[in-house]
Amino acid sequence: MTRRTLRIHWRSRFVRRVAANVIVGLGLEFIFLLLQGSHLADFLEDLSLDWMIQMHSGTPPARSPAIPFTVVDIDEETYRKWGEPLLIPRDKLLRLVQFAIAGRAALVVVDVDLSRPAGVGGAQESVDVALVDYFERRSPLPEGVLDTRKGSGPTPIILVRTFRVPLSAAASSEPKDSFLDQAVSIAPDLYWAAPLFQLDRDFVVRRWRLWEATCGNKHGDVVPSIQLLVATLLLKPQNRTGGLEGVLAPFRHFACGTRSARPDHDSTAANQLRLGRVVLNVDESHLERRILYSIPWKLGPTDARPRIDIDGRPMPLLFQIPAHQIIDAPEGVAKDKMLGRVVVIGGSFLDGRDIYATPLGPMPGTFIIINAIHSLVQYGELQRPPRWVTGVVTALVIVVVSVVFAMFTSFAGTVIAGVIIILLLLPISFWLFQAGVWFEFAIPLTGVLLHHLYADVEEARRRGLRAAPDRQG
Amino acid sequence: MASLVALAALIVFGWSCAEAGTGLVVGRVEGFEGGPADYRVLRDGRPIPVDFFLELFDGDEISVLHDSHRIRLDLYYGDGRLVEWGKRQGPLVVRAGAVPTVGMNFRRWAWSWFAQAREENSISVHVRGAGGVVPLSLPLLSERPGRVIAGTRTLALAWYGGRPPYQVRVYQVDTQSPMLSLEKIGEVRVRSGSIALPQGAYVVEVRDADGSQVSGRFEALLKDQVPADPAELSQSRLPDPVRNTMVAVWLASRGNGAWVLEAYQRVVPLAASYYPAGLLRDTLEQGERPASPPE
Repeated sequence: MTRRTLRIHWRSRFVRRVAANVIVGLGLEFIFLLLQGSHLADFLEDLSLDWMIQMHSGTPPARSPAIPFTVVDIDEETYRKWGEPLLIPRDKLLRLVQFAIAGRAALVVVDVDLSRPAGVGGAQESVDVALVDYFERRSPLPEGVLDTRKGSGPTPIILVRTFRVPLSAAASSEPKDSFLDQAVSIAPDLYWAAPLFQLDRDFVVRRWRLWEATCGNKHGDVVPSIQLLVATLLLKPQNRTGGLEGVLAPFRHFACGTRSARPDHDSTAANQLRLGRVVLNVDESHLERRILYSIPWKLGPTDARPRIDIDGRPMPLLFQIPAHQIIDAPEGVAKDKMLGRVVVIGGSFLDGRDIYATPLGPMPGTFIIINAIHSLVQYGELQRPPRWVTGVVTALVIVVVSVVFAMFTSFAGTVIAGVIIILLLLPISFWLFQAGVWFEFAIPLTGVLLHHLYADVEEARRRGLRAAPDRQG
Repeated sequence: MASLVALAALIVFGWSCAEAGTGLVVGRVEGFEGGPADYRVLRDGRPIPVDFFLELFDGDEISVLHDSHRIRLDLYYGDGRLVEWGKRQGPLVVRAGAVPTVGMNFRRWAWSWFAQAREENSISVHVRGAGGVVPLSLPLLSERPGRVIAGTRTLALAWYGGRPPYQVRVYQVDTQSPMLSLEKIGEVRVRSGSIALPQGAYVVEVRDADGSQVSGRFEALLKDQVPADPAELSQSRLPDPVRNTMVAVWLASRGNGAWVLEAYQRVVPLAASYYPAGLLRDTLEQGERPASPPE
């Protein structure tokens, strides 16, 4: 009789504690739902995503075929060998571009500011003239051929368009003129692209921008980002940039208004940009613009770059070549380091001021560009799982955590609930991440920790209740 | 806190995976001094004949047998570095390195919390100070009136600084008659077509977009007044661009800089095709001069 009474008492107490825990769990979930989209929720999500990115640093690409890269790096040694110039010497830059083209690169990105002529006081030096001549005279094609040919023409070259900060807070950014403007307008396969990325509150570069709406001389324009243009040229080579220009055209009319102005599209299709298997949403989102960095700038002493299959041979995903090697002894640099690769020419020397904080640590602009291209082509936009999946998992977590905290003390409950969540959610999160889906694991863990606090308070309260009669006695 | 530490320990010890090294190509031989017999490559204990572009596999051991010769390797599976190796450095075993995995990264991250060393990174907070418009100057005619050979010829001139477009005028001192008048010049150098340049004194005037103006003087002299080329150079069998560039260097050093303008005329046609001539042209344009030989 006594044993039965005890069992019923224990069961009722257990059920009561589980029910109380479920209510606390639901309350926490409700608070998290209310906070969704807030800076706090975004901050938590960014931290857990940063951690996930760090865990995937330098790992092999999840999908094949992956695009191979080569960085022609104006590194510290190159910079000093060139006499620490204020501007990157144009004659050397031309030779680097020519080397990449001669090596049959798939595409060349020149991540060097070309807005200023090299001559003193803005004069156009002969080296600038040589650059213009080279770009203009590279296998010109008849007008109208651009949109129809099958990607067998000259290697596309992408130059970075630089921008000025607008003086009016509401205005769009202003593109800076360049001595290469005319060359880009007449030469086939020579493009401007925007090298702008989103800078977060903590000064970490985490997100790309799809394009820049610009307003120069009262005429609106839209400049695609480097990663968008590269993805377009590589994933849709049959019509080059024709499709992209079609998508960007409506935005031109709004570029001279406010920064947020954009045409109203009713249909989902009109708000989407399809590049092969990659589908991009025009609407900006906190999650979808994340760059899933996976190519670190510097390697550990025993680390190697991942290998990918190129024509049946395992080759490094990335080659990094100091620029001075190409200038000093081009015959010593194997041409197959360019063959079929996206070649990015840029600088990592400290005086260039082109090194930024990223989830993988400090990184030069060239590597941010490479990671953005790799991320876009490999994963597209990062997606959330369907709402019902999140709902089911959340309910399961709340029940499991509630039962665990009802059965064990606060300390043991935290360890066991944490381990269960980590063993369940973390592998799922890792697995989905490689498919470009972000399954949040930090919020359930935060929930467990908050629950731990609640359980501590509850335990202290119970001890207080038990001790009270003794003190009275 | 104790619960979090317990969690971390559980995870660190419970999760570990690594990618094993395989017989992968690590890089290749880019070049070597001497002959193949001066080097030895051992693969699985067996010697492999050394040759240009020989592919190196994970675990290959490379030894340099000759005291003064070196071998050049492109170990492109690491950070893509080029390595030069000599006998003194002993045998080199090339390794493919391990491609990071999620497990490796996780272990490193977990252990990094317990690492003792603090990472120190510093930044320099400053802006670049150079820039702006450099004042217009005419370094080719800075020291004293320059000298060139009279006759029908092209005339090359260069200036420094200012803001384009530029105007250039060359006129004879006695007659004030313009020999050359050019406008809307975008570059900081110009070369005329063939013009008649009689013996006499001349003035060069350069004006920039801001209205700044500089001027300099030169004299056109008969050919027999020019210092004769050194016999060592005129009789040498050097290729023309090399000899002419060396003569230009020598000429620029004569007469305390008086012949810089003539030296410049000789080197300009070579500048595009012969790199040292281009260097000399740029150097003279910037006002630098070769050291004068002792008289």
